[in-house]
Amino acid sequence: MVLKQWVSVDGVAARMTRSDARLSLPEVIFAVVSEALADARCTMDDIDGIVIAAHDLIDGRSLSSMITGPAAGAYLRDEIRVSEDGLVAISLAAARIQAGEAARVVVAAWGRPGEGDVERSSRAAFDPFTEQPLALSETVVSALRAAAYLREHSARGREAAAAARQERAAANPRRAPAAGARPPVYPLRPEEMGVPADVAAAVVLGTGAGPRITGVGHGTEPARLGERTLAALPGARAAVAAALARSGLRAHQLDLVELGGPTLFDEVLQLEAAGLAEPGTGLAGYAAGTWVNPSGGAAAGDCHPCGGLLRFVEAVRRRPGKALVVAGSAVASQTTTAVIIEEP
Amino acid sequence: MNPDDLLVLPGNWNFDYRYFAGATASRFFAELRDNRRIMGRRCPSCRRLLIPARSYCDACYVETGDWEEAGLEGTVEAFAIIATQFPGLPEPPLVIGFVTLDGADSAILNFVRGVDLSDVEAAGRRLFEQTRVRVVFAGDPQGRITDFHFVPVNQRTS
Amino acid sequence: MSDPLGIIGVGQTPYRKRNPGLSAGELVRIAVTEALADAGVGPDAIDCVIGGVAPDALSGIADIDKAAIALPGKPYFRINTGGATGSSALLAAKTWIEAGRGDVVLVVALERMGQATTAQSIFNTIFDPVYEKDFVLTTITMAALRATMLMRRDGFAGEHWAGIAARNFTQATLNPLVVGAKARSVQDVLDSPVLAWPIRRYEACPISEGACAVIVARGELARSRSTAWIRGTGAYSDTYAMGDRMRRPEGSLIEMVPLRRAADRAYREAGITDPLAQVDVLELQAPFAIIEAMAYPALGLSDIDGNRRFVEDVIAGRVPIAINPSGGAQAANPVSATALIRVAEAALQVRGRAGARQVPDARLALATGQGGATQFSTVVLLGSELP
Repeated sequence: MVLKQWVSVDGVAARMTRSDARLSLPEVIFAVVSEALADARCTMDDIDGIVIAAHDLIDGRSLSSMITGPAAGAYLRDEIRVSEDGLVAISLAAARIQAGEAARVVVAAWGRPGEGDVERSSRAAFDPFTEQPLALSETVVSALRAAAYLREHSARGREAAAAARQERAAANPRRAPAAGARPPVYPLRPEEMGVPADVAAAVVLGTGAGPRITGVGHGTEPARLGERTLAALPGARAAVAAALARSGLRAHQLDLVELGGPTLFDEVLQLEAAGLAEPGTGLAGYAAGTWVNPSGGAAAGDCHPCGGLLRFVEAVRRRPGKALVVAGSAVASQTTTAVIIEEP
Repeated sequence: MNPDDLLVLPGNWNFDYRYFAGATASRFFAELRDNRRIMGRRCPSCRRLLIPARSYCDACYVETGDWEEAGLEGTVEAFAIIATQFPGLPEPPLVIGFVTLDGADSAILNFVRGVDLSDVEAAGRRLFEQTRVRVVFAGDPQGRITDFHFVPVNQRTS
Repeated sequence: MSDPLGIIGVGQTPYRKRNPGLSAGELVRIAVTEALADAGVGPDAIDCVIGGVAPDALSGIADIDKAAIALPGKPYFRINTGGATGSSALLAAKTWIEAGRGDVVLVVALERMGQATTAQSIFNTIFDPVYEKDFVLTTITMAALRATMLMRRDGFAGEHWAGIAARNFTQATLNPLVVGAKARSVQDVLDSPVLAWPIRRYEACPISEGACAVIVARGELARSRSTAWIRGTGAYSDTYAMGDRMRRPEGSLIEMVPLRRAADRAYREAGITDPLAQVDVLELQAPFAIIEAMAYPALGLSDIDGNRRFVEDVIAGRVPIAINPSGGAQAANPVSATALIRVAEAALQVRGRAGARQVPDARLALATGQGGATQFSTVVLLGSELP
């Protein structure tokens, strides 16, 4: 199916800090949304829709959008909030423009591990009867994925991929301030982890002359880890296939991919799911492909539920010809969103 | 299944946070603690003096400007008299009220003390008539919003 | 609108205080199975699933929707706008279809708050931790603050709140989904203990769990069925700061400005010029009587000066519009689902499938959603006839 109308990316902004007590959470959001508006050369008066992605437990406010929504412009405007990764908010915001409901939409997401332990709160998303007693967390699932991948395939290219990822992150001027990566869980290594950072990102979508969103796709896997294929991401495969089909592109035509997963192995699984590396060759493909996560991915700074929006902003800022952005959402990439961006 | 045989697993939902108030709110609390002043910032667009101080105006979506002090008397806009104990929340009876301090353009929430609550209905009716209150500062300020409360005017400090 | 959208299926669990015999997924399954049967379609017909769950803390499980609602292989995401979650999810479904992403969307809202042992202390944690959380703000005190404003401005008294509450609780006895519904008199309410003056215990909505599922579709699928057509919608959000809304030129805290704007937009889309005469049924997301009283002028059913008299007419049954035939949110308010239940009930009315609570000749029904600090408002107008 062809999109009803073009959706353009008119402005982007992102911030990464670490425990900067000078700004409250709403103030961080206000600042980054204001930057995105300036980048789009417009003001809040030009905005007629807001879509935010926020998680109550990460924000430490049991109905986060009461306080954070207005900071993103939800003042007597049509605003809706997803409790998902920020790339889902991009998808819904684009749909609002395609549906003719809004002409210019602000999308915003954030996460602030400086205010609360995200790793710990992620444990609350697992089943209290069968999973929580086993100390599952997002990181533990990533470790299970890494173990499954290494058992099924090989570790060939592992060191090179981790080194390439660190180099790309180090070269990213917008990376999070130097800080320790999340402590790994075996078999994950420190250099394969994401760097927790206080992050916020905002995007202005419209129907202007900027890069265009030409395809969006979503994929969903079973909730139970026992029913999932841990060494692959069929949900990501479905999401990317749907996004490519809508854009009319083939995977090999892409100039850049930004992958939003918490660790190197999650990113590699997304790369393979996108059809950009054969199963088992993702580590080597990641190392060799300078067009794969040129931002450094989660190694440059990350926090759920902002990861996908950060990757989206990075992709747009690199002015790609044709780019794919992929991001997993809760719980442990049960759902994945894929978005295609093309220069007009 | 016999209802007594259904598993009901005890759990809790405690997560520690450290909320960053930010520089603007931090100054508001410092003024409260050190100078016994209730400060706001004025929006350069709508000209409202927003109390308690905020660094941006929701309505105009612009950064707020100058710091200004509000008066220490004001008008109760809305109140509630809490009469029932809820687990984990302060012990009743308590009156809370949104008060527009003189000179301010928005109301601030705090406890209204010094109200005779022996008859809640009568207290409620009285608060409709007697809407003027004044600020009373705590003796041992902590730099928290609870460093002050309101009392009806014409009453001695509680 | 070239290809109109409508609700082709509705499914609901009973709403009760807790369901220790059913898992969250089982509650969802009951509602979804019933909605699919009502629509006469199988799961294969569904292009996308949208979940609605409000504060995670109420069930004590984060992202409870992922295991309970999401269907593998179908696009899925969760909406959370507090008390408006269910209707916001419905509006997202409309967006999805009108953007050409699919033709049939399943919307499912789930509330599992029976697992919370201290709901009001959880509700305290929705408020601003820096300036306001210390002051015992909860959903109940938030209602009480508005009640005192209304009483002072319009001369309302406790009898008005009790009258609205008694009416809703009594109407709920006709709704088999409200488990344990008991008729209450004005005196019963007035005699119940004060929670936060002027709000009394028998005025406050009870704790309720449950799931509600609604199937939205367009095209032949919708035209060939008994469909509640979406005639108009609106959604607006507002500032959190209650103190900023006391003397605001656009309208004060008790004028429900976002609800008014949402209603104006929905009426415009539906060509409604005189809602009191043209709308047959109201389903209000008003868990407290005072929210219902505030909503009437915002919905254009009365003006502020005449609102006390309008409320008295409502209590006396003298208005030409059926209000909350289900008992409304006051009788059962499963937070995450309540706004979708309002839409579902409105759909049942215009499809003539509301059983003992059916309003005769219901052709146009209005459902509201309300969340946050009187912040997130939605209006959905459903009609029995094609737009």
